Amino acid sequence: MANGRNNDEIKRLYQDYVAKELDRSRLLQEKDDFLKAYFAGWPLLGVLQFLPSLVLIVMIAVLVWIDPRILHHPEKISTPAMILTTREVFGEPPPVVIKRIVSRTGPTLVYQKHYEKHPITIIWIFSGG
Amino acid sequence: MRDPDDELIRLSQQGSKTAFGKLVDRYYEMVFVLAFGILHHHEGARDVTQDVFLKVFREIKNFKGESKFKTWLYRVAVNAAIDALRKQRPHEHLDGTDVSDEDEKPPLIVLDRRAGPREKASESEMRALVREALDKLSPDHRAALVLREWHELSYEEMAHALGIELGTVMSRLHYARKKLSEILSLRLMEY
Repeated sequence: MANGRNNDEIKRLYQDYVAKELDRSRLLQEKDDFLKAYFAGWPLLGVLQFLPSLVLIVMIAVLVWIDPRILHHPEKISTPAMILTTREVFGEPPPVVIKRIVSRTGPTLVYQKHYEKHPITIIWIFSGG
Repeated sequence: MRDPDDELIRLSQQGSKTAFGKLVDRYYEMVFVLAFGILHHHEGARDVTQDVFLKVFREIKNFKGESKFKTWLYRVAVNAAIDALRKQRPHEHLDGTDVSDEDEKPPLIVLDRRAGPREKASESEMRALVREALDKLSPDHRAALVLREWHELSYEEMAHALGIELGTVMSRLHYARKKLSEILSLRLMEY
């Protein structure tokens, strides 16, 4: 029957149209995103995947706590810093001690006020000077 | 007949997102294609699909099992997609019993059946024509086509999914196919 043949053709054309127009990989990605956003529990695997990172962070923290110097790379210097001058400025006791220092970092001024309980030290480096 | 989704539905009704997630996983593509068949664009279909599942999750406690879950889902999805299309095109006359526009003549198409580069152009021409024809259909006719031609529901299943009489299902399908045929008539005459 012509009508039946027409209907079969319509079906074929329609299915072909939908199949080719559909971006299935995008659809599946959107489905996954949607599920994760609204209907996923807290999967055991999701927690476990962070475990190696956590172990690494804990190890680094322990090592730094044991010896903070591992964060630094001590460098051998041939010319140590040298105090050029020291003077005291008298005002409210204790006096301010000012030291001029020459070092590889550049001219440096050190201000110190030796309070008994909370001594203060300010180091002022003029780098590139 | 026992609904294969019974256990997941029961757990979902108790609030289990994991159980409902499995229903989403099972039916997402089905709902998406249905929405796409009505709206004809990906973003709209995605939005409708996700809205449908969120709505169904909110209302699943009210699902009494009088029909299969899948049938209920079809109905919610069809209504949501049709509403979305109507919001996009509020000026359109959406009468489900439109007759053919006699002033409109289908375009003349010549398909080159030889193998080679022209085949691809013909395929894309045909898809463009199918899309053009589908765009002329009302949402109800688009829904009928996608449920029958893609999801391959029986007429009875379509009637339940659409909430209409069997006769109306067949009438809509007949009109939709006729409209498509008119536009693609030259292609069909080759047989």
